[in-house]
Amino acid sequence: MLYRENMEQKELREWEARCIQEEPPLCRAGCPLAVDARAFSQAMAKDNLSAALAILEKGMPLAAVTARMCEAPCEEYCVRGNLGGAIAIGGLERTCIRLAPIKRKRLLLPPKSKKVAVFGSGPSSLTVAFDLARKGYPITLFHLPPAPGSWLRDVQESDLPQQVLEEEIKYLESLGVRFCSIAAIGKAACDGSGCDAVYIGRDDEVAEDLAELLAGPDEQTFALARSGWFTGGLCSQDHVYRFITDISQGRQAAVSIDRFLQGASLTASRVLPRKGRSNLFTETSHISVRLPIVPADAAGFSREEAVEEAGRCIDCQCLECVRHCVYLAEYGSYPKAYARRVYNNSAIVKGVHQANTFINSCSLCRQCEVFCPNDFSMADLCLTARELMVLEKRMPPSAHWFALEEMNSAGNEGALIRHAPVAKASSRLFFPGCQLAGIRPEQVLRLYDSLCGQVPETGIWLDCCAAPAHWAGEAELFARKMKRFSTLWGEMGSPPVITACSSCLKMFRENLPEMPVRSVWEVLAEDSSLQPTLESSAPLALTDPCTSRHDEVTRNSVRTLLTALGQRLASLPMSGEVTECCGFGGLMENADPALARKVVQARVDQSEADFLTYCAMCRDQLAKTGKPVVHLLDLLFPDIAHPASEQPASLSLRRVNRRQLKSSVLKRYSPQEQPDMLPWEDLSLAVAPEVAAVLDKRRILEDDIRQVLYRARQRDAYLVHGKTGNRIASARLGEVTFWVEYREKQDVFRILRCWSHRMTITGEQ
Amino acid sequence: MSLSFLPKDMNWLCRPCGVPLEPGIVELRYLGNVFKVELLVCPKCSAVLISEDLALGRMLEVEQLLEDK
Amino acid sequence: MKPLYLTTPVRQGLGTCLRPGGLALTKRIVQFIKPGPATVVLDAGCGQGATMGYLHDQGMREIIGLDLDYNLLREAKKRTSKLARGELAHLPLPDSCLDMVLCECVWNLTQKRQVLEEFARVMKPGASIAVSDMYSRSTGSDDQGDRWPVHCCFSQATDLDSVCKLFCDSGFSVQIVEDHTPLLKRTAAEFVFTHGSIKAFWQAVTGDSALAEQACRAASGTRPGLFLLIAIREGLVKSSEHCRDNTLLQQVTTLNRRPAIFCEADRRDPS
Repeated sequence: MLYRENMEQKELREWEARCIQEEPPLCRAGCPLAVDARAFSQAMAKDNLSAALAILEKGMPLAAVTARMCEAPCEEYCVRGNLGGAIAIGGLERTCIRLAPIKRKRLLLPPKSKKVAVFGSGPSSLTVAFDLARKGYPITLFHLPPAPGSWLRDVQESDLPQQVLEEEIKYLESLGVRFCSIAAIGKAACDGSGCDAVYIGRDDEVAEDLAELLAGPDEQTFALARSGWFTGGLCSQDHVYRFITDISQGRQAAVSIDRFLQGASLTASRVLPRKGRSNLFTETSHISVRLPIVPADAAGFSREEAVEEAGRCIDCQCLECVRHCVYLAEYGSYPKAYARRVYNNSAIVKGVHQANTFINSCSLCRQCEVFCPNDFSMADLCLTARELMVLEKRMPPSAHWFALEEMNSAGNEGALIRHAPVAKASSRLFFPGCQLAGIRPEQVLRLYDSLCGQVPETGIWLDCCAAPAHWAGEAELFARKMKRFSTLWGEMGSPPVITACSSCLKMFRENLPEMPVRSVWEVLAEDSSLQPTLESSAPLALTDPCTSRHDEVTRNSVRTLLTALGQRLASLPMSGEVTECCGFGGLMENADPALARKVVQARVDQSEADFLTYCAMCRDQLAKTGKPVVHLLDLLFPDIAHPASEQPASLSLRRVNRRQLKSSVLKRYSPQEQPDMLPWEDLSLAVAPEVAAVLDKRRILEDDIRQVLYRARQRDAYLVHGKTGNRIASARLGEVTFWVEYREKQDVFRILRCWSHRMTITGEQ
Repeated sequence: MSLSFLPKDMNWLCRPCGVPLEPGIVELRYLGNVFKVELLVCPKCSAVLISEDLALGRMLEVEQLLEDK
Repeated sequence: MKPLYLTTPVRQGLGTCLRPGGLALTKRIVQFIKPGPATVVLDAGCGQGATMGYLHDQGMREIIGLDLDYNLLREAKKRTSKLARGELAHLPLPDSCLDMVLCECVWNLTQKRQVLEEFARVMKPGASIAVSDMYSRSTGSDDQGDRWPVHCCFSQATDLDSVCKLFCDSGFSVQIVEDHTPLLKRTAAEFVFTHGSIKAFWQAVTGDSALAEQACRAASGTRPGLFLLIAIREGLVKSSEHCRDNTLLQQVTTLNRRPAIFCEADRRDPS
């Protein structure tokens, strides 16, 4: 059997390409040397001069000179430019180099055998000498009298002190560069160098007789027609960025020379200056204008001023998705890196999380897609990974077990599909969804009655839309369920379907396109007979469920209804298309309940007002935080409204509610239609609140306990404690063995403790 | 390798058999792995007692380890 | 600090066969190679001699054991006499004298390349070698987890492609590579049952809570698996060029992809 643990490399590249977080910030992209100006500014803002200096030294040749002389083309690209004025990066560099002088280490390099002749001692030539000497090449630098430095020697002392230049020259000497004075840089000197490569710096005075040989250097490699000859320093004297561009050319030429001497291609896999090109996108709408700091002394920033000026740096990142998503922020990285991790299936070492939990925790709400400039979708990434895990039998069995059990239960003992009691056909079918049935069965009935009041031939269809199977990566199971739905729907005459849940709506729309389906809110909004039922009411923060993200029609219908009801809304910016997840979707609540709690807490913290929703899952999830949450049905049917402060329905209660809803519906048909009561259904349990809380946390249902006790009673088999008389019974239900410790008195079972495990026991040996 | 997980309180009787549970070797299975452990067992009908501590402690950790969670 | 396999919790847990899975993989090796009474075999890293005993039970008669540890060898001496103390990187054996080499959960503890070259030296062309050990199931991620605080078979574990390449480069032609991680998980599960948790196991090994946490994190980064590799000693050509002719290995050289011959072991209990 082929064991394929990783997805294809090509797929990974496609994922990675979408996420731009690793694209360079514009300042760096605009720097001819690709110095990380963002990191530099961040370090200066933290008053960390040594770190800032290290960044300069990393990117610049002869940093003591370059940092002083650089004309800072990066400033043109600075995003702060539109928000008060570009960061004075050049000024910050000069301040840094002034306050934190370089301490050069002696380098011991294994010398290479090939020799290089550098002609001229302008910035580009000095750079070539610097870069190649540090690689171990023996360099002879031919300069014009009296001393090396060319026009740098004529720069005023306040801008470039003579001593600094001399120290850099001394440093080059310590690297083994031999300085030779020649009368003129001409053809004879260059021909006679006796070296394996020759560089001629045009930023120094060059004799006329070289003109022909220096013609037409390659734009990228700076190679000349003559093999082994290179040039640079081509900027004219009035070029705005003459110095730094010449330096950059010297650097590029040095790369070419190094490759040439090694016999390697001059062009393959070569990183060229980006000239400001970058795909990094930074959202700036939340950034306020800050004006540049003007130094008190014209000569430059003081240390404090530099810190303040650097503090204006926006720290351009993308991280748009991470900014808005608790799940992404929790794992401390960004989508491109996540894609790599998911594909390598490596463990993420942060709080000993495993990659599998990471993959299973995404709520699939697709908010990141909206924020990402390239529509990166964590949902697609995680769903694909989950489906692959299931296909290759690597999905931990307990990961989604409970949600799938709930789905099965809603699809069996909670399921029915009928025409209206008086009718033999349906012009439409009402599908309330299993979660609403689980928490508000009487409101579902009332809603159904309202729909029948509009159109008598409204059928009813109780089931689970199989979203849990889809979210769990069980593609095959999900497909079978959809097929079954299609068949059932056909048997009912293929009428349009009305759902009360946005998730059900999405599942049907995306997977059963032949089935016309609308939300019940859209249907109700068309009914103009609604009157304001509310007196004065405080404004509520309306949160749209994540599955309504791209369903403008339903969202607007809800708002129409609320206006008709006279309900005022409090401001909640992250709603509509950018709405936030409640932690239920994608089975996040199953995979990582602690994370789901954080997510939902962050949501309720976004408004002081009480919340309002039209999704059953959102209602109960948000209410877990203690925040009062109203469901739209509470406003539509105030006489059977639940209190906004009501605690979420327990897992056990949901099962009971679904069964009771089915029962109530069936009561409207002939008495023979009543389902038989399950044999254990009427076992009477006494469960103290603390015990009930533990049951819920451990995902043990009262129905599970009833079944265990029923079997114990049938077989008359249980354990008894010799002293207390407490009893223990156990039974295997599906994939889990449940244990109950209890006392029985007059047919009532008082539950003391419950626990479960998945391992099976095989008798005594 | 036999591991013993006898609870501190061993005072449990098997109701149908009317006898106290005794230490005995039991096989626990999960995902193709078998572990022999010593637990309280009924000598007559082989009923086993798995304590809450064991189920929610070591058994749970082993289940998750084997699942690669 | 003692190497992992000599620490008390591990010796108590694993018994005579100081490795996960005990004799299960040894049985598989014998099934595949089918040695006879005249097959000259070296048990490289023979420990207390459990494998040597098993091979003898299977009818083999020319069995040599080599190990570094005096105490383990003393135990082994009770079963057999053809033993020597020595390093695998410097085998006390002449060239081309062996028909078979077994190296079970030892290789990762050694200078791997040098040891493979030594094996190649002492094996006849056509001889078989079987190696089982840990490998890393996490491939080239940025999060390598913490370093291992204990010298053990995990600390030098690499991905399988690197393992195959090393064999190729040392003059072997790889016949099969199998994953037997379930055996490793089972051993880990037994340690959990004994000590209460993985962290508690490492704490019993290292005697230190911080080191135990470090080991847990290192395990997360490595994601250890257990492999079995069987190869044949080729002629004297050592370059990997030679390996490319072998169609079985064509996919081995591709990074980030499992070799097509890599198959998940039989999930039935190997006993």
